[in-house]
Amino acid sequence: MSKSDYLVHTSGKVIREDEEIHTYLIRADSLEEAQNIGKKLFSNEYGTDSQSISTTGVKFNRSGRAILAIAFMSIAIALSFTNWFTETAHTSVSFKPDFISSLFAVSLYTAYVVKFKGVEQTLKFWDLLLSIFSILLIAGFVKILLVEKNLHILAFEIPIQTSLLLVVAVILSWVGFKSVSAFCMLVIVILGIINITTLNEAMGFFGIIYILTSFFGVLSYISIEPSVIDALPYIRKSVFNGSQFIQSNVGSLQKDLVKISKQKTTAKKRIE
Amino acid sequence: MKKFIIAFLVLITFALGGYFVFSAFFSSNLKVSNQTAEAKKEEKKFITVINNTGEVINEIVITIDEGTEVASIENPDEKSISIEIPKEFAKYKNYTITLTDRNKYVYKVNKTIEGTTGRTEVIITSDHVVKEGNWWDKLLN
Repeated sequence: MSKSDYLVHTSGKVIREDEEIHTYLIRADSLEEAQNIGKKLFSNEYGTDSQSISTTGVKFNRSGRAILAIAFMSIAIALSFTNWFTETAHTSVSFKPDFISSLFAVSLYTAYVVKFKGVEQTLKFWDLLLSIFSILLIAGFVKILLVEKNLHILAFEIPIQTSLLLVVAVILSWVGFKSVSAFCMLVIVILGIINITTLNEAMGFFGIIYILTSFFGVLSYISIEPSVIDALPYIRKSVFNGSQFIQSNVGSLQKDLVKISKQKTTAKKRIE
Repeated sequence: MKKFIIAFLVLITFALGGYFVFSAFFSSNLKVSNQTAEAKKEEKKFITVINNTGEVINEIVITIDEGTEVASIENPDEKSISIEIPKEFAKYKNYTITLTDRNKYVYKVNKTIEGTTGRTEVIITSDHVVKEGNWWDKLLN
């Protein structure tokens, strides 16, 4: 009897927390055997009695889904490497992954590997291949938001690189200039939206293909990646913290604007 | 403070004004309308490039001999465009007209034009491709 891949979800009472959930990818002869191995792994990892561990499992073809994920991601990545033109435009709009966007993507993916997936797991054949495709896909997403173009104002050409602006915004926020940081982020968002609008016009039907293939590529990847399932609560928490950070900066900007307008009114009254 | 702002604005206005005056009077504009080229064909030499490639052209370069550049136009929007040959190069007979489209495909045509005045049409089609560009971009756009 040939061995198959099983995705085994385990949960049980641990010493540190009330309940810990962990998903394992196990190669076994049957679902029952995979669940037993899962229980043992969980017990070894968290020091829990195997009697109190509950498991659910599902048999699936990991290689098949990995190929599907790579196929979808390949289409999306190929589209991201294309120069897009609006009907009669001489210059293109593109979101090709480059050094800076890849650096952002690698940083994000490294955080995920270190915290959840583990280096050993990442270096296996399918995982390594999927990591490369995931990084390129994320770099494309980052590049859509980070605008790099020359703005023509009158006869002058002003180069705009929002990637640098983002770094400046983060540093300013750390230093304490929250209002200026919020203003920088506002500029990044506005330019990002303009970029998306231009891309929408230039890509046309291929824009839909890009979104669909990216979505199903990521979905197929998540379905075979146990550590992503475990990482979801942390991702939710990170998104919440990120939004809190932005809200705090925007709040500072609002307060400063109100303060400035009040000072102006007082000064005017004094003059009168 | 107010005086400083006014002085700064005046300085900017002068700088911009100066730039526009310089651009208008001192830059060489060899691109002329077909109508002007036809009207002045007895006095000067013109080449009217007709773009039948079906692609958006980003650059037109006219050269002589081994590649001496005579005139170049960037990002023309018209399907046919007239280019004035500077009088210093009007005595030459053999001209090479090179077009580069937005997908980096290069088209080349050699044309022999006698005389130092007149207007000559040069038709460029997809058959004149001498260097393949980005086929992937061409396919998707």
